[in-house]
Amino acid sequence: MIGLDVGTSFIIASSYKGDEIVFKDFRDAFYVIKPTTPIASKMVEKGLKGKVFIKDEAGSFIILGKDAIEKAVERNETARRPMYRGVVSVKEKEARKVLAYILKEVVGKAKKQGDKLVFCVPAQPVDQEDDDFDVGYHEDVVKSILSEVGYDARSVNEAEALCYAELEDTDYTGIGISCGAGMTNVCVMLNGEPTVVFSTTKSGDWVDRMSAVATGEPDSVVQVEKEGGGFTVGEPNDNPVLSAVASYYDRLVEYTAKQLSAALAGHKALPKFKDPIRIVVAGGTSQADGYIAKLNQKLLESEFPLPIEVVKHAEDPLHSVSKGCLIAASILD
Amino acid sequence: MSSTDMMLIILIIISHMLIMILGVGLGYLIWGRQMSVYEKPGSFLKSQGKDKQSNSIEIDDTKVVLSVNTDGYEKKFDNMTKETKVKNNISSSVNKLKNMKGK
Repeated sequence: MIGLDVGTSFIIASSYKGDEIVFKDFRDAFYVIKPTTPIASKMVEKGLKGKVFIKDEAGSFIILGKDAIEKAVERNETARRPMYRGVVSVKEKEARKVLAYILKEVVGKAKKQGDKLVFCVPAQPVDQEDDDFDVGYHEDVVKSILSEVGYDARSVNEAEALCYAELEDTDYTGIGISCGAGMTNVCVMLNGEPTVVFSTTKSGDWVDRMSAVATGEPDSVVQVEKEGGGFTVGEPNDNPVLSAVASYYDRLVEYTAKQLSAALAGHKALPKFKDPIRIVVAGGTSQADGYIAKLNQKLLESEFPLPIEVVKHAEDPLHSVSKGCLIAASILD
Repeated sequence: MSSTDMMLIILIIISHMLIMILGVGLGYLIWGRQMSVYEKPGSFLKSQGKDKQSNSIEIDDTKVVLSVNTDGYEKKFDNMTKETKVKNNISSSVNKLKNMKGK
């Protein structure tokens, strides 16, 4: 059985191997090079030796994963994504095909027909009022791709999976916040039952985009600088890109805390917790220095409607959701 | 009670009912969309990922092509993922959740 975190920035599969869990991480990005002549094609192919890439019927080279980001940065451009804000990108014409290829390669063929696989899907956003966002099509496309390689694929909410992975100590009572690249997903759980789930549409990509606009650099360049670390959320920095990133991160945390407080304040389905609750945070975007402390501070400032025991980082923030999906797959009949 | 009074009472009752129906309709138009976001979510623990929301639109996959053919791609690499191994530390979570599910 397999747990699969289908994220905007990372696709992470998890499975059992003996008494270990194996995580397979893949950077969810691609970059296309279309050579104009047969000689140029040979030159490009030679230059891509050792990189992860595929060649399509038209002779174009599709570089995948972190190699795609490196190549895009090299050419001062931005790598493309098969996913946008947590679902199959409708902006990218090749998105579905590239995503299908990546998913099939990451999970491989099922060992036996009908092997269980649980993948995560985002919740409906609270800060997007139009009808542009729908998870149904994304869910059906992913299911269809995975069934082609022999899996019985089922979906679980992303933040719910995070709660399964991180809230065992509190009898699965608390709040899980998954800060991905495209979205921030939230699940309020009471004794293993999700009572409120929702998402917001600002997260790591928004920080990249806004910092890119502020500094005039491509998104990929900002992303690489950001992931290199060397900044603290909300604190000044000598590097202009990191300074913008730290500043927009601060705004992102404030926005997330306000949305969270507003969505839960007076919510009909919000349980009456008898004890202060634990909030567990995971996802690549939460890995920035100072993120957790800042979130704690902003939640208190935004009059979060529940008493908080602690805001803590997941043990393995990048793999938590995938691990939760594997737990979900393991409890299936 | 005269027939005019009767007619008046019936008219008042009907007008009140109409106002109530209009109010409900207006409330749905204003808050209906937000309410759907706040509906109690389905639990994976109980549904095992099987249940569909009753108001969701079903896609007939005999008419809509959901499958994606990737045969045209020529593979040019050996391994595309980065592997990490950790000790299996989820057995107790799985057991606890199975018990909570009522197994």
